[in-house]
Formats: sequence, C-alpha cells, structure tokens
Amino acid sequence: MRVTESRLHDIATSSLTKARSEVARSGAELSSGIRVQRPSDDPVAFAEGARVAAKQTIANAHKSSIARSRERLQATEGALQTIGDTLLRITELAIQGANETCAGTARISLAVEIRELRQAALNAVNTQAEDGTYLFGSFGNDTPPFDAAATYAGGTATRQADVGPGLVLPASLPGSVLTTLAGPSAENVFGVIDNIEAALAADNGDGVTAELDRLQRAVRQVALARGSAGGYVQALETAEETRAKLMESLVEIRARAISADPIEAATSLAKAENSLEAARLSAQELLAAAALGGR
Amino acid sequence: MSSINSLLFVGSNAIQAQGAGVASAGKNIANANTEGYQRELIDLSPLQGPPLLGGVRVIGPYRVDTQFLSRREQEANGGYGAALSQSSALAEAETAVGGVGGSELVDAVAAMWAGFIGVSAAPLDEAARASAVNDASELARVFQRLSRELGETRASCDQRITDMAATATKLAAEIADVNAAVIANKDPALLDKRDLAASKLSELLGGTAIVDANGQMSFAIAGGTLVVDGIHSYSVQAVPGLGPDGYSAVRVVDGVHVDDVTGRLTGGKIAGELAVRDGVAATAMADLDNLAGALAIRVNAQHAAGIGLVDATSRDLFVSASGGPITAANITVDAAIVADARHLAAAAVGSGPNSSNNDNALLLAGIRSEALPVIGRTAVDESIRIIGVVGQAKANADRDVTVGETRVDSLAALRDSLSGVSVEEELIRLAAFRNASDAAANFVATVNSMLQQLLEKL
Repeated sequence: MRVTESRLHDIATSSLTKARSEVARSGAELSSGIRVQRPSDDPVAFAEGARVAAKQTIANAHKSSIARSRERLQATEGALQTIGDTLLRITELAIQGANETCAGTARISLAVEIRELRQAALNAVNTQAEDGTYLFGSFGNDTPPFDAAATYAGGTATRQADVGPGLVLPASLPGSVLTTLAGPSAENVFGVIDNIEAALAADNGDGVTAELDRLQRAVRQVALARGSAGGYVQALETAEETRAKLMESLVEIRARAISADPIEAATSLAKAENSLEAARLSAQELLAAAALGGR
Repeated sequence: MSSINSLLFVGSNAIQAQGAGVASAGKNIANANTEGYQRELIDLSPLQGPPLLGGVRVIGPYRVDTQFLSRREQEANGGYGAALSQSSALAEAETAVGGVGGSELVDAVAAMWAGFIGVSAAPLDEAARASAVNDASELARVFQRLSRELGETRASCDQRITDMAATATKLAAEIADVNAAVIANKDPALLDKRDLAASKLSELLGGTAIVDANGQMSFAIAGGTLVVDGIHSYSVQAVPGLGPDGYSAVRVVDGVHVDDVTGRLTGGKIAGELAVRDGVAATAMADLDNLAGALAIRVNAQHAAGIGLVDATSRDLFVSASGGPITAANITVDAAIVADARHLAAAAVGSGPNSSNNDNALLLAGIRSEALPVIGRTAVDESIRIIGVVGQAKANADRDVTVGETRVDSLAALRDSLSGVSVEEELIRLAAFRNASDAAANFVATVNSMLQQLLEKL
C-alpha cells in the first residue's frame, strides 16, 4: 500500500493527539480521585453513585431524627424515674401513716411531706423538651398536660419518628400512661397520691391502708411506663447502629462505583505518559522519514 | 524509410511527451499538501507510423480516482459527522440535565425528603421548618434551571442547524457551478474542487454523490431527495417555527417544490443535531416536566391533607409560577409558605393550632418510597433515569465517534494510497522524465547535426 508523506504527518499528529488526550484524562482522574465524573463516563456506575448519595442524604436525616427522639425519650425516662422514686417515698410514708402508732400531728406531717412530693411529681410530668413541647403532652402544647388538680388533659397518641428505610419507631410516651387510660387495671397515679394525702390529713389510718394496694399498682404502672420508654430508647439505639452500618456500606459502595483507585489511576497516568513519549519519538521518526522525500 | 525531418518530428514529440511527464510530476509535488487534491498521472503509448518512425503519444493527464471509494467515503463522512455533532450536542445536554456535579436533581429531591424527615422529628422547630421549605424551594429552582438549560441546549442545536443549512446550500451551489464548468473543460482542479465540496456536503447532510457518464454530479440525501442535479442546485433551508416545538424544520427547496427532510435525515452533522434537539433533549425536557408535575401533584395531595401551625385550612406546597399545570419550567413553592414556614403542613387535619402532631410530616417523607402515579418510579429513581438516559446517549455517541473516526481514517488511508501524492515517488518520476527528456534532446541534437552536415555537403 502506498504511504504518502501527508499520511505520515497525519499518523504522527493523530497519535500525539490521542496520547495527550489520554494523559489529560488520566491526570484528571488521579487529581480528582473520581473515575466517573459525568454520567457518560459510566452510566451504570453513575446511577449507582447517585442512588447511594441520595440514600446517604436520607440516612443523615435519620441520624438527626434518631438523636432528637432518643433525647426526648431519655428525658421521659428520667421524669418517670423521678415519679417512681417519689412513689417509693410516698409508699414508705403511707405505711408509716397507716400504723396505729402514728396519729394526729404525726399523720399531718406526713400529709404535708406527701403534698410536696406530689408537687415534685407534677413538675416532672409537666417537663418541656428543648423544642418547647411537653414530654408527656402527646401533641398538645398550649397548656401543660396535667393541670394543678393533676387531671390529665392530653391525648393518648404516641409520636412516631422516621428512623430508617421503611422504619418508624415510637418517640414519646403520652401522659395517659399515668392514668386509668393506660389499661384495664391501670390506676390514676395522682389520684392515689391525693387519696393517701387526704386520709393522712384526716388522721384516717384505715383510709391510708385501703390505698396501699392501689399505691403498689401505681408503682408497678410507673415502672412499666419507664420500661416502655427504656425499650423505645433501646430500639432507637439499635436503629442508630443499623444506620451507621448502612452509612459505612453506602460509603464503600459509592467509592467502588465512582471513585478512582489511586494506584490504578497513577499506573494509568504513567502508562499514558509513556505512550505520549513513545508517540513523540515515533512522530519524530515519521516526520524525519517524510522529510527525506523532500531532499 | 525515415527522413531527417521525420526524425526531428520523433525527437520533438519525445521531448514534448517527457515534458508532459515532468509537468505532471511537478504539479503533483506542488499540490502535495493541497486539501482535496488527487494526483494526476499521464500514460505514454507508442504513436503508430512507418517503420523506424512513429513516436510517443501522451494519454492524460488523468486523475487517480474511483467513484466506489468516493461513495464509501461520503457514507463514512455522513455517519462520522452525525456522531460527532451528536456527541458534542449531547455533552451540552448532559451538563444541562445533570446540573452541578452531574446529579443536582437527584440531590435536590433527596434533600427535600430529608427536610420532611427533619420536620417530622421536630415539628415545632422553626429551623427545621425553614430548612424543609428551603429544600422544597431549592428543588423547584433546580427543576426550573435544568428546564431552562435544556431549552438553551435545544436552541443552540437549532442555531447550528440553521448555520449548517446555509453552508450546505453554498456547497451544493459550488457543485452545480463546477458541473456547469466541466461541460466545456474537464479541468482536474475543478473536479477536485467538486469532490471536496461533495465530501463536505456529505459530512453536513449525509447522502452520496453520483457522477454520470457525462461527468455531471448529482447529490442525493435521505430518501432520494436531490440537493444537486447537474447544473441545478437546491436550497437547504432551516425554517424557524415549522419544526417540532417551534424550532426549525429542514427543507430542500427547488424553486416550487418543497421537501421537508427534518425527520428523514439519517447522516451528517445536521442529523446529529436534530437527534439531540428533537430526540434526547426534547425527551429529557418532557420527562422533567412529567416528573415535576407528578411529584407536585402527589406532594400537594399529602400537604393539603395536613395543616400548618397557624392555619385553619390546608394548602398546596407547590404551585405554578405561571398558572396552568405545574411543569419543570414553572414549579415553585407557595409564596405564603416561603414567607412563613409555620404554614408547612406537618400535622394531621384537626390537630388544632400549635400542635406538635407530626403525622402529616411523616406521610410527606414517606412519599420518597412511593412509585409516583403514571411515572411508576420513585422521584429519586426517575431523576436518575432522566439523567442516565442522556448520559447513555452521550456514551453511545462517543462510541460511534470512535467507530466513525476509525472508518473515516481507514478510508482516508485507502484514498491517500490511491490518490495521495508521495513526494518521493514524484521525484523519481520527475527524474525519469527529465532523463528521458535529456535523451530526447540528445537525439534531436544528433539528428540536427546530421542535417547540418548534409546541408554543408550540398
């Protein structure tokens, strides 16, 4: 086949252009650390990378949601512990007050202490979270869930939190868990406290004795509520562990899909540079061969 | 028997013939780098005459050419031209539909879902609400920008089509002019000029040229539409407003008859631009509109099923900035919600003012996992699909460019092998003809010397 000088020039130019282009591409990949910079570089990998990035954004939102919900439930758990401790002290005082040896002013002193303990418990159930909502308020926020008479005015709904792909977990406990709304054999915790206080104030030992079983049930009820809150916290912590593992695997998947392996990229660049040097040398030879024809 | 004069005739004839050879070699060397030049050769054949006489006859010069190779080159040019322009236009479209980082739409959709999750976790938190509204607004802005930039891409394609149509008309006229000129004078330079014009025309329009027995070239494109027919050339026009979506239609006009070839061009740069303008980019715009519309309808339906902190009635989250159905070009967030994020409907209807109910925020966030009506995919998946289609088209076009380039290159190598000028070869020819010319001159000098001697004797 005839090869003209013009053809030799074209081959030299074309080889150099291609070699330079490959050096530029490899250099860009190595310096950016990204193999797939645009969809056309590798449409399948790009789609995977974009999908993973979207999941990472959602997972980050779940992290915040879990953190907020856990804080709220931990505060709820703390409030229930306060109420539980209060009930244990009230139990001691009630047993003391029910005793025949305790009468008159002694019972009145016990009633005064129980009133103070009642107020502390009432403050605990009307605690507000950082966002201004009442821990035990269900969804109402304009007034405290328990009024001065310790009557519950909130709802029975539990707030849910979006914590993972297709996963929604409870993020609150309504104040109804401390009332007869909690279940068939549930007690009105503050009602029991009020009855014991009233009996002591009236020096009525039998009245106090009559409330002791109810008081025990109230103590168990608060413990159960605390257990529920603790269980919800545990579930959220498990959700967070799962989320963290998911994030790790998402990072890995995204890196595999679109990131450049530095060693491979450096090797590719070195090869491209060698090819460019070879193209330069061959271009010199080709052009020299072409020039011979003009002599 | 030969006479002295006859011998002189043989000598002068030989000098002229070798001189023609020197001229042809010289012309080839002079045009070694001329674009489109095809080398010329001459053939020498013995001139018949009486014994010991005769001479040499020059046949040519003739161009070294083959119509078969020319047609293959034109077909390859058409395919390569289409792939090249398509790849270039798709690079614009890919940037337009991908936005910042190549996946801006996907990121914006995901951010909006994340915003709703944030509000569901803290429905009374002003910052969470403001962030969610901002994410929804940003999504609307991204839709608008991508739609606008895709429109600009299509407009750029349209402008290039208009420019290329004008160039094609000029090339067609050039071919027709040469056809007229070669009737009287088959100058190889004219034929080279015509072939070059045909090659460039095939790169723009696809199509191939045919040269008939009279040396007249006709050029036909898609479906047999003639652009050049002998000494007549037809106008290639890009007429605004008559094509899809108000863009230009490509027509071949021969005075009265108008042939709309917009949908029929399969080769050439114009076809490549049309494939993007009316194909990939148009589809991407339509898909963006469908996604914006479907997403807005679904989100609005859920938003309207909830209530804001300060609302007595429900409202839509997304509205059309220009009225009418929501599209990618006009989607925006309700101005009242933008002004006051408390209008974001995170609570279920009936929750009462200032409620920390988050039921509706949870349902809004849950839309992320739903297949949108009609589209049949989640919003994230559909966004990825829209961007991916353009990316895949670009990747395919790049591959076609590589294949086309290889094909054009191999045909160019064949062309060069056949018609290209090898300076070395021409120098050898030049030397051969020059030596033969020197020998012929010696012959003439010898015969002349013989004549002189004869005349002196007489």
